[in-house]
Amino acid sequence: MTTITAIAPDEKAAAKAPLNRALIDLSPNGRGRVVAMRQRIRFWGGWTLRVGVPMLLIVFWQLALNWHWTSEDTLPSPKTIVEAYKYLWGNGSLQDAIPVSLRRAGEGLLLGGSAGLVIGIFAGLWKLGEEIFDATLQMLRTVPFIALVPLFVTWFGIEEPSKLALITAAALFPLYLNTFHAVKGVDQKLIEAGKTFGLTGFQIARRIIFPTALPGILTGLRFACSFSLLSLVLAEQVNATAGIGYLIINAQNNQRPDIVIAGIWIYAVLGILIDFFMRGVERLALPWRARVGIG
Amino acid sequence: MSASVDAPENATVDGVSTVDGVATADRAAATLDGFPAPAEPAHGVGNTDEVRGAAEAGYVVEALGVRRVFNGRAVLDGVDLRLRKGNFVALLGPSGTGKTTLLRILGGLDTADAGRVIVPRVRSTVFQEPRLIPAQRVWRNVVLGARRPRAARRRATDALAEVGIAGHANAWPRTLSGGEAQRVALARALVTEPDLLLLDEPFAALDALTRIRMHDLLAALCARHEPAVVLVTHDVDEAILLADRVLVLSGGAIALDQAVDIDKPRNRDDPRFLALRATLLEQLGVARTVGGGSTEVAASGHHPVDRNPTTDLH
Repeated sequence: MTTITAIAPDEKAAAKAPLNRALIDLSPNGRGRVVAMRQRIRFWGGWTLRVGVPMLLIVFWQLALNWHWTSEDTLPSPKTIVEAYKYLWGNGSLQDAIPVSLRRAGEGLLLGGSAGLVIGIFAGLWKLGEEIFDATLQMLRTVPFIALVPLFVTWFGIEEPSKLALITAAALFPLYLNTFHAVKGVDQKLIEAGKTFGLTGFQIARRIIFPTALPGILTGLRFACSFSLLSLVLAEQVNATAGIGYLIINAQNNQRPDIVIAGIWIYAVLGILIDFFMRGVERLALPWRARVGIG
Repeated sequence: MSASVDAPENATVDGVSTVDGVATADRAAATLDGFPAPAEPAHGVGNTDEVRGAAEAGYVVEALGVRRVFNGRAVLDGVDLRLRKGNFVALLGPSGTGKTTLLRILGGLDTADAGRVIVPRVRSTVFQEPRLIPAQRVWRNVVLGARRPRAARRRATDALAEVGIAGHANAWPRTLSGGEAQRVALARALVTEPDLLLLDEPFAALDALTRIRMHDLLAALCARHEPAVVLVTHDVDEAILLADRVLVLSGGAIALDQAVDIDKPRNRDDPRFLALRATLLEQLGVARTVGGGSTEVAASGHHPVDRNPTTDLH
């Protein structure tokens, strides 16, 4: 005997009878296995779809106007909007508006986000913190922050402070909630393991809890970013004298739908950039995480 | 390491403390490689007469009359256990007899309701799951207990080499197999040079082949480092293979304390091995004739030694 096979010898005639159960071929090039195809789709599909779908929408938009399904007064064509950007850039209002808006969103995110982070950590680590903050914040978070606009206008006026307050409030809750749950949700067994090695509470927090809770905290940051952008749009609709929102309101008053859409596009692009940025941060900060999916 | 245990006549109370939270005094100054020094001077804070007494008698572990009650039910009711340096005891008993509870009390994760519990300050635990921190690289996990992990990197690498996975020092725990992860847990437990090593069914989740390798590894490591070891297990064969003494916990107390007088390395076919296994299985309520392979103890309805039926869980 030179070879050993794992194929059973035919002992009984019954075993030789044709099988009436379904079989599939999982060998590399078999019909049941679409690995190569799937890889190709994954490689080309990812970026093509990401870029292609919005492009197709824009092309469709332009065609809809060319075929006179709608008019330029209702929905300006993408071409007109590009012209609007040139116009806004030409008179310098674009260069003025974007930094103002970014600063508002950034300051609110920083204030609200860091408050949410600190309170979340405090409430997650200490029972006392949970007792002080959690019930109140859980109650407040169910209030849509849009409902706060009139209140903030009464409290902080219609100038910058009320805008900042709104964005801060919007950024606080997602970061608080996610940080609190991530810190609290760290596997007790890991903490116990730390205790058996004589780690102090501070060491357990630093070496075990924070690194393990980081994915949840970053999810909170991602939400906080989107929420601060969302509330920025809202805040800038109220008596703005600068910023993207101001451009939009101004254009609306002057019957310039092209500039309105141009402003909305800027918000969209900011949203994409934030998402892109956060992907990068997560990739860098969480090298230990498996990137899993279902293909 | 601690002179008291080696030479009781010249006793000091190095590195011994009670686990009641009060007596665990400040740690000694950190050594150069980032770990706290295991030894403490005799006049260290929190050294009671009991602690001194245990050290003078040469015990690293002295647990007397340990009682632990959960919801009005005494899971442990008068457990006595004394261990010297290098003693390896296995703790057997059906599920729910308080094996893990006793281990947690010795580890300082739980506090007894009554009794005396004196254990070494430097002790470590290996659990059934590896319990590695997913966000830390393997070597950082190994020196989890170090004051300054970066300074202890060299020791982490050495410990990983000792358990045979030096190549994985920079890997993330997620990428390890079950056996590799448990080796890391073992390296983490030994890198602190513990006086007491607590093992809570450390091999129960491993496949049979890996388990055999881990048995050999553990035996070799214990022979070299000589900590006192308490191994909680359901596997009678594992207990006989590794331990010097097999304790059977029943009715909240130690029902059998059986020395294993078989030369190492032990062979499962040795008649003395088989005889001891039969004795233990009978004690555990699984009367059975000699069979091959490892024998797991199933939860059984009754125990031959049932000193205190009201506190028994079954």
